[in-house]
Amino acid sequence: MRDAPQRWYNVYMVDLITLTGVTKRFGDHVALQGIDLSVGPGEIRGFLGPNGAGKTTAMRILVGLLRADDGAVMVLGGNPWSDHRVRANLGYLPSDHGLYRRMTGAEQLDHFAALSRCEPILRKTACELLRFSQADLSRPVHTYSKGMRQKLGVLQAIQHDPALLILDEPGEGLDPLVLSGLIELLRDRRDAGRAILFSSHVLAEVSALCDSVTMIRAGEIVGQGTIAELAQKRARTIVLELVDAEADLTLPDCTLVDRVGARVTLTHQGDVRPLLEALALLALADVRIEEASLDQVFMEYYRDHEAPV
Amino acid sequence: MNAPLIKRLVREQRVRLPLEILLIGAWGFLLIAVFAKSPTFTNLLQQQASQFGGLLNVIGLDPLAQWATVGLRHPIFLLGGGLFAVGIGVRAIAGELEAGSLALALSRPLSRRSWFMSHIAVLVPGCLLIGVAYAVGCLVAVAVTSPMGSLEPIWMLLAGVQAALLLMAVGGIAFVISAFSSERGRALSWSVGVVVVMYAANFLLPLWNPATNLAKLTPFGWFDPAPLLQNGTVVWGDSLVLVIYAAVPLSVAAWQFSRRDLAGG
Repeated sequence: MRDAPQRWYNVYMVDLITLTGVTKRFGDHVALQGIDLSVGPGEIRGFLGPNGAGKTTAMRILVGLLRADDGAVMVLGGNPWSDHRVRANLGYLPSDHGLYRRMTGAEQLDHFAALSRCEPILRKTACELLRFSQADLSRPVHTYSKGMRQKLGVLQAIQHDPALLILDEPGEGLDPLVLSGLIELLRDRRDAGRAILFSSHVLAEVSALCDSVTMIRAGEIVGQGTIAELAQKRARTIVLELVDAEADLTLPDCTLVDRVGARVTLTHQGDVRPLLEALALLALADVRIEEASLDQVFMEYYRDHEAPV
Repeated sequence: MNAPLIKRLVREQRVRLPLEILLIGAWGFLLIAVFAKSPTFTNLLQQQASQFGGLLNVIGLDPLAQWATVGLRHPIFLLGGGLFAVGIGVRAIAGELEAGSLALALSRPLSRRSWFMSHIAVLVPGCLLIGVAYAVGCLVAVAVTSPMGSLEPIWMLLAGVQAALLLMAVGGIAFVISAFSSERGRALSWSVGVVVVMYAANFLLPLWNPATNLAKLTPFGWFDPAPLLQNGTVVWGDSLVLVIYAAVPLSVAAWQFSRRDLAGG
């Protein structure tokens, strides 16, 4: 076994994942349509999208389980489909675990560490953070609960401290205490320069953890950037309490949502300065400006890009 | 080949394979023991040999060698040995793909070729052990029960190796079906179906003159340990065809596995 995975990726600060115009078809069904994605060292990237959007397909391409029909795939400096050696520095958690039911947790971790040809230098720390005891490790996997299988799945992916982690819904089935341990563990890895790509449906988890997010729908990237950047692109909500309920309202870049008496609800998208200047001229009892939450951003991106039925 | 993977595969077989070896060894032992303790079997066999001699291709054999030949071509031997060969072939790709463990293993620096060859590295000795187990069972029974006639140990062991080639060919069929499938159940039922049809065809087709040669389309048509057990004649051509019957589907399976998407599970 090697002492530790190579770290040269971090030294040169190259992107550990680069997908360029990647397309994947299954027969007539286009699962991915020209997607671009890059994740650099020390970055946690959330990969969001509704069921069937193409997240798992993209992750399987990144791991080398599927071959892209078009486009370029670079993971850890090589193509994972044709060069299995690049996967020495990769940790992968599939959505369906894929654990051997008759093996104990410890045997399973030893086996995957041996396949990775790396010492499981992070196993102890990860077990502590995920609250996975020695007694748990000595039990066969078929006696595990869903949450325990998920924890073991995370452990096998992270135990050898890979430079790149690809995690398909890592928080699935974990209780809040273990989830906070997982978030701490991933943040710690991020701070150590590792790159993490993970998919999730739990937006609180994403906003707590991610530096940036990529949103995918029907096989196409519909939004990409930091959560703040994405929120800026979306409409903010403005609630005005007018002194004069009958007053005329002409505000730049605003759309009226609702007007009940003196209370007016609008959405605004664009430069905020002309809006503030216009608001300063109004007689207002109160004003509230709300940035779009991640939930709203998420929902709006999906609504905006409805797939044809 | 990959040592940790082979270690796991061997570990998985630590109960099943010894049981199958034991079953086949016991089959060989019981066959000869029954033959030794029941002279009527000798008479019955000789009558049957003249009746179905063409079918079993065992005319003129030493009764004991004839009996040992029947044991190697019997469905019980095929069931015991085929269970291992088909089982490992079906699980290697379709089974592990459906369980999700293949995706997890191949996310490591492990090539598909290495994955495949590691399974072959378990299939080949496993089949050999099963074939040899039958020979050892028969030889132990000969030593213990002293039946009429004789079985040369070296010929018996060579017949076991021939049987192992047949089992590898059966395993090859399972591997190739597994390589094209993503579901364990489907791969298993197709593999068992194809093997059973081939086995039945090998016995039924010779009953109809125009189709006699079609039996040679199956690997069973090339498995005849009778000359070897009778007088030590190794029919190298038949053995070579069995090797080809094993190698061709295994090569097709390896080729398909190396290029296919692993999207199941």
